Amino acid sequence: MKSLSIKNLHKKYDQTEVLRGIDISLESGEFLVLVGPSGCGKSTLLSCIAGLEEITSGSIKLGEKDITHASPKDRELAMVFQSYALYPNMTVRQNIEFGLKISKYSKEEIENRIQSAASMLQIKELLNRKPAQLSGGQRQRIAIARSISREPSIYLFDEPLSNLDAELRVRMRAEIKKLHKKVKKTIVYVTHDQIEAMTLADKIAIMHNGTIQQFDTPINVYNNPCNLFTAGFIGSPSMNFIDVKIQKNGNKYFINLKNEIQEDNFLYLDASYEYLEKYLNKEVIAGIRPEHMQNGFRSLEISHELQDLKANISFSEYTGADAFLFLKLNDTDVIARVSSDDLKADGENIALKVWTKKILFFDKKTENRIR
Amino acid sequence: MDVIIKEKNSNKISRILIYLVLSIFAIYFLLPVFVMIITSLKDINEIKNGNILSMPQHFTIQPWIDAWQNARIGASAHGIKPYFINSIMITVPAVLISSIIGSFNGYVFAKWKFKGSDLFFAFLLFGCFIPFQVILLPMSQTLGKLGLSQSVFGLIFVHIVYGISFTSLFFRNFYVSIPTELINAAKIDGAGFFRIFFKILLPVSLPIFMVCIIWQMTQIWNDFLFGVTFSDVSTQPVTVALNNLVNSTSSVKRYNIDMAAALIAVAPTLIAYIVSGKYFVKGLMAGAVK
Repeated sequence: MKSLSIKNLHKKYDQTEVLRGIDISLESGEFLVLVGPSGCGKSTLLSCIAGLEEITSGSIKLGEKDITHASPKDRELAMVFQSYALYPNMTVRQNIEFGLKISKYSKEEIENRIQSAASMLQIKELLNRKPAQLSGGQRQRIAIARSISREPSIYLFDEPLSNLDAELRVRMRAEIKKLHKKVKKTIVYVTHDQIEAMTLADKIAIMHNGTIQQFDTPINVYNNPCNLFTAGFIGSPSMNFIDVKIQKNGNKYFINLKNEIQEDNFLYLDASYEYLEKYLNKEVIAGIRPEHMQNGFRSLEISHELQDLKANISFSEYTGADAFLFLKLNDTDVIARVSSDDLKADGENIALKVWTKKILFFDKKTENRIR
Repeated sequence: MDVIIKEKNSNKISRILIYLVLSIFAIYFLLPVFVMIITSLKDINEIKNGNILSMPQHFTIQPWIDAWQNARIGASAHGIKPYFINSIMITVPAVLISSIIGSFNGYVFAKWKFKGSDLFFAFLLFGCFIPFQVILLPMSQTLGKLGLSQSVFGLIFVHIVYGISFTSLFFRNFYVSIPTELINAAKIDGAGFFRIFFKILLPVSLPIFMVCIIWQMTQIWNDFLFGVTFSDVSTQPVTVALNNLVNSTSSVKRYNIDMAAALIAVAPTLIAYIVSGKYFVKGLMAGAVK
């Protein structure tokens, strides 16, 4: 169990810089998820941590040990790959043994480790099979068992669930979470699936264009995104971004969301929005999550923070528990997440409530959060 | 209903057409082989009577025995047997060594890329396109300097050098299709360059080895130009010996012995194809798809 600290890491392929100054510091035993759209550099970063890619500059420390230039096998780590990377010509047992034999552990030690890893992942009856005879879920189990048997200081997971079908993915996700609770080791986990990221992580690093946009807990990433990219990336359906003008009436700031028939919806902001002063009479981007525009807020405590929003339903998507209403506010398409009871037909008008306290504002030029 | 029946009928007709065309071509290609076989089983007198295309009246395997051990080739009259053995002595080591070197090269080009390795590979590929004739002179000088001229070892050397381009290409294309994650997993497990090759890649390389072996064996066994250039009377391969056998005429042209000798000379490659042909197709495809 060791902490991980990455300082100012850069990685260049010829002329293209794929990682530009990555800083991460992870407490020992923490679960870090690297998440981002494809091509953001998350898998490259993982390869750099694993030592499979030589870095251009910067440093990587595991605990007190500098492993910046150590070879992969000397980094006390284990890795689980997207394609499982099981050696096809070896049985499950031989797959697990392979690394242990190279590390020259005694026969009893190897057997002990195989048995404990196999029982932890319930694969004892599979030990003598070949990978080709196993299902996707079983293969992923073996790959995890193989990494556990190495008893590493840190685990690396490279999109381990993306080859599994939806149901299995949810099950394996829970198992990985359980496993982390059991082994209490530091984990770095790469995924492009934000649900995986939110459910598994202690810390999330949202990456974009080779930089870390935000490094924070899942709750903070969701509630306090630092810029337009992270706000839009986490959350499904994603946050609505609407151009609005900050106006002032007396000492209260307000914005206006015009609906399809140019009806005004004035939303007054409370005292916590004082920082908007320097944006007075300027256009900014308002970010409103779909669930903060709805008709079914139940908690009475927030009822005084709700304000009316009249809108016209362009069309709606019924998903079961919820329905997504597609509306037009300030000529922008937005989505409201409402309760699916008494669903109104397309084209009808609807009166919604907005939880104004949850509205975030972003600078139009820098795309950074205004706060 | 009518449409279905019509479709079925037109299907049947096109089937029959396909088989007809295929049969014609098969017969066309097999006819010379058939003539060779029946001629090799005839007495020379039967042939002299002018019935070269008719079935033998008296089957005899004497021409085969003569071709194998009694026929006169140049000065000696020991048949093509010693030259057949020469060919084996050349082919076996040349095939094996060029395949093994090719597998290493392919491994490096596919999974251990270094700066300029793609350029290096491109140069190596030139070897596949250089015509044999171009290298005859420089190669004979090289063999002379190495003290290998006119020897079996010289021919082995030439075939290895010439074969590496092809075997490297085959193995590289095969190994490219093996996921790099597998190599990475082994690296993290602590395996090095050679262990990854021997424990992980080599065990799955049988199909491509078969491709290389069949390809190289056909090339080397059937080679005539290198054989005629770089060998002498005692070290010539069977192809050269066959040519000499046919050309060293005594009073009568003994077609039956010529045919038998030719059939003996092509037998090994033919058998290799029949035995392992399915690997050849599978292995060649392995690099191409994916």
